[in-house]
Amino acid sequence: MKIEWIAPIGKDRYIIKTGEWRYQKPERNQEKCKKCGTCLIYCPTGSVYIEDDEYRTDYEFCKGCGICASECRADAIIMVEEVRE
Amino acid sequence: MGETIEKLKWLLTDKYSNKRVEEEIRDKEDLLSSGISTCLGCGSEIGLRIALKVLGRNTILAIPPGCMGGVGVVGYGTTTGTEVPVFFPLLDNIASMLSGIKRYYRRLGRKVHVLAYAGDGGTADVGFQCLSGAAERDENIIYICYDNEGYMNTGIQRSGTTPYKAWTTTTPVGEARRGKPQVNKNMPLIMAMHEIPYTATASIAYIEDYVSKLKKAAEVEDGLAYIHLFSPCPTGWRFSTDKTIEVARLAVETNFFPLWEARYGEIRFTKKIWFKKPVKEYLKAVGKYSHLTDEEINEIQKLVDDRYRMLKSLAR
Ligand code: SF4
Ligand code: SF4
Repeated sequence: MKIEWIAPIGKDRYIIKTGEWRYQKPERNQEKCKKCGTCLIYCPTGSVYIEDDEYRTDYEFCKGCGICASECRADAIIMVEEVRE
Repeated sequence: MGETIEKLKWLLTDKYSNKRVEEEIRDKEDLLSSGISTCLGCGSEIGLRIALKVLGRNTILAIPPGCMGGVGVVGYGTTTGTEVPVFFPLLDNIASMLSGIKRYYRRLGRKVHVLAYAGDGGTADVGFQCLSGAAERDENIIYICYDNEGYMNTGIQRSGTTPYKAWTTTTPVGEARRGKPQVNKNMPLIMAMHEIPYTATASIAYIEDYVSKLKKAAEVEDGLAYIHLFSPCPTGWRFSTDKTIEVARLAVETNFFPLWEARYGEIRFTKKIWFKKPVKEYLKAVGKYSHLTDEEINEIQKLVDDRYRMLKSLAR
């Protein structure tokens, strides 16, 4: 057998539901958004994505750090308190 | 009219250049799990995510003990935090272990990137002798050091790259002592002086610069490529989690952490700062320097100026 890897690739992804840590969440005002992509490259968790030509946030892993809100030059993102039932 | 001025202002901001790099990396596959338990606003997570996007699937990753190991990039049991093979070397054999892996693949005739993503403790302190040896032997590995200026994962202890006067749990601030009494190692310059094919400093605030340096590092074939990544840590440096990028940007704008690259020891600046800010602005933004008096700030300003002058005299 020809060995292809000498390092293992994990069977499953290591995933923690980090979205549950969030105490504030980013909300984007699509009208103000200039589509510059700054929030996308700086988001540590990689939670910003593009859909229908709009920048959106995936709340599954977003930890609510606020980097996207403070880096957005157009002030399109505000942090609001996370309300959970 | 007002709208045009607004638009012009927008175009002139530093952040606009992010658009170019964003177009380049946004469709690349994200090979790092989103659900790793880094602190809120972690700079090192941005660094690793982008490095894996640029280098792609054909990469073997080594993560020594440190923040990135602890948060689950290596994983537990049969899980891993990345979609590339990932290793867990010891703190003191990162570069030697990777040298062996690279040689094995070269023998098989396969081209892979062999990447180390190590903290400053694993690079400048514990793992230094094997890194220096690998650099001297011209081992073809890519070594990224994410410098958060301390052993953050074990409780914010001082390391060789913790700056002068900075607070950590082992260099407390009180009557007898005021932060770290020694000056930090100039780690990127030490590596450049090994005259390896590629050395660079990078900052998470300047992603375009970082991406271009990663690409250059990936092209190196005749020796070691080393990138020293400035990666602010909200938990250990005591600032609010949304300020990570701002702090990293200030460090560059004040020349506290200049951006440069070196080929075979020949240094070239990659980011020219037209309007240099006083170091005070950076120190005021970071909580671990909040005890500093004006006198101490002047002392640090002098250290920063001296280092920058030395670097400039070495540069082309
Ligand atoms: S940083 Fe602001 S303006 Fe730019 S894409 Fe994100 S939300 Fe839109
Ligand atoms: S709050 Fe932080 S984690 Fe959430 S989308 Fe913004 S930058 Fe990403």
